[in-house]
Amino acid sequence: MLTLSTRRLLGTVLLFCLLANTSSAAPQSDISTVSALSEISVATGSAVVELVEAGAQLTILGVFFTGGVASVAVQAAAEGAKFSVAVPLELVDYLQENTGATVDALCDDAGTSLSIAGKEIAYVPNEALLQTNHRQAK
Amino acid sequence: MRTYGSKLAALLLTLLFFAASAQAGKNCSARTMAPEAVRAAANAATRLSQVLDLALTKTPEQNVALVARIGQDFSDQGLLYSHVGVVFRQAQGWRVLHLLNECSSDRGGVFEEGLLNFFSDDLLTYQSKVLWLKPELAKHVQSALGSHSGKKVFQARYSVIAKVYSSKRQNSTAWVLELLAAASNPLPDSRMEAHTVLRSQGYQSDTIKIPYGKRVLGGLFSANADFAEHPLGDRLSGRYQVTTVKSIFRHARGQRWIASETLVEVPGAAVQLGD
Repeated sequence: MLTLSTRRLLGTVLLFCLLANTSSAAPQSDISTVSALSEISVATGSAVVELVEAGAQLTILGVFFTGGVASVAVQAAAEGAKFSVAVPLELVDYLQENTGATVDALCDDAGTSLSIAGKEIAYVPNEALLQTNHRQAK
Repeated sequence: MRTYGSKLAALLLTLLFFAASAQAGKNCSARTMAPEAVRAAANAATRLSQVLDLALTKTPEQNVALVARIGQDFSDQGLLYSHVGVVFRQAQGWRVLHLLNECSSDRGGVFEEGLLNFFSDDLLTYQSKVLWLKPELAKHVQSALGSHSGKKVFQARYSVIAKVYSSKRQNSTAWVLELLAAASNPLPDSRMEAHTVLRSQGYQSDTIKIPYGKRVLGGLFSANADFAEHPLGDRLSGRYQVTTVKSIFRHARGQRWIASETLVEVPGAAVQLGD
């Protein structure tokens, strides 16, 4: 039986894989790069929903790269929580220009949309989708 | 925290290795999906899951279906759906088993995916279609998948334009068709035997028209498109006999393999009819 933290971690990993969609040639040096960012967890559907439902005010902390994948770091001011979501390279300049901007979050049946002044910057699928998602070669 | 971070890093790296994209005829470029594409995929997966759950509640004996998606615009060929897989329920949720081309190479592989991944493939539109198999056939398909995941009718050499009944190459649609043929008859234990069954059942492939000039100028000389196995006459006329989703659905209906069908629409988008 999976613990909640294990399930969240699984959801996190699946989300990261889904959004990152990178090639298999990830360099070994990525291990240390990701470890250095351990204080910022990758967004899970449930964690984002919890923050949104709690009325958290979200702001852009900045953009960072891990193994060629760009991610935006988001902070929930009052809660002190931080999370990150992989973003397309096309959004990097826009997000860097908008560091400190307020992020609007809107939940629907399938997940949570994050936007700045009406421009969608990320979509985090809900936990139910992430937990039932996988890819396995047979 | 450091320990958690290290474990997370290791897991991420491990899974990123496995996350090498295997898509239906697409390149494996390293890119993150746009938010609107993630949203569309998530909504399509949610709707499909709801449709499948509802159907399973009503008729529990129908638990295996064909599911088709629209990845490319083949409307000029009279085709709507470009890809099909087998969807079935497991304890963890709905799973799709389908053959995917590995990074535009000449290799294919059978993959099991969740619904979110099924729609995370740069699709043209997110409408899908579900054809529930009759319980008797569904049981045999499940048995075939459970014992060897359809490997007996699998060929690793991939060609998106694989000739119908090709023994040397296979594409996503041919694998599904041959899996159904194998399940519909207790004898087939190989691709060749599945072909024999399909011929005896009167399966009719479709004709894809690709003029020679378009094939050359359109850059259709790639590792995952082998035209050479088609007869010279077909190549000269630019008319290729292939297994399409449309032909699979037509054959399945003709064989009375289908219990019911459901069109899973995209809210706000025009419904596209046909196969």
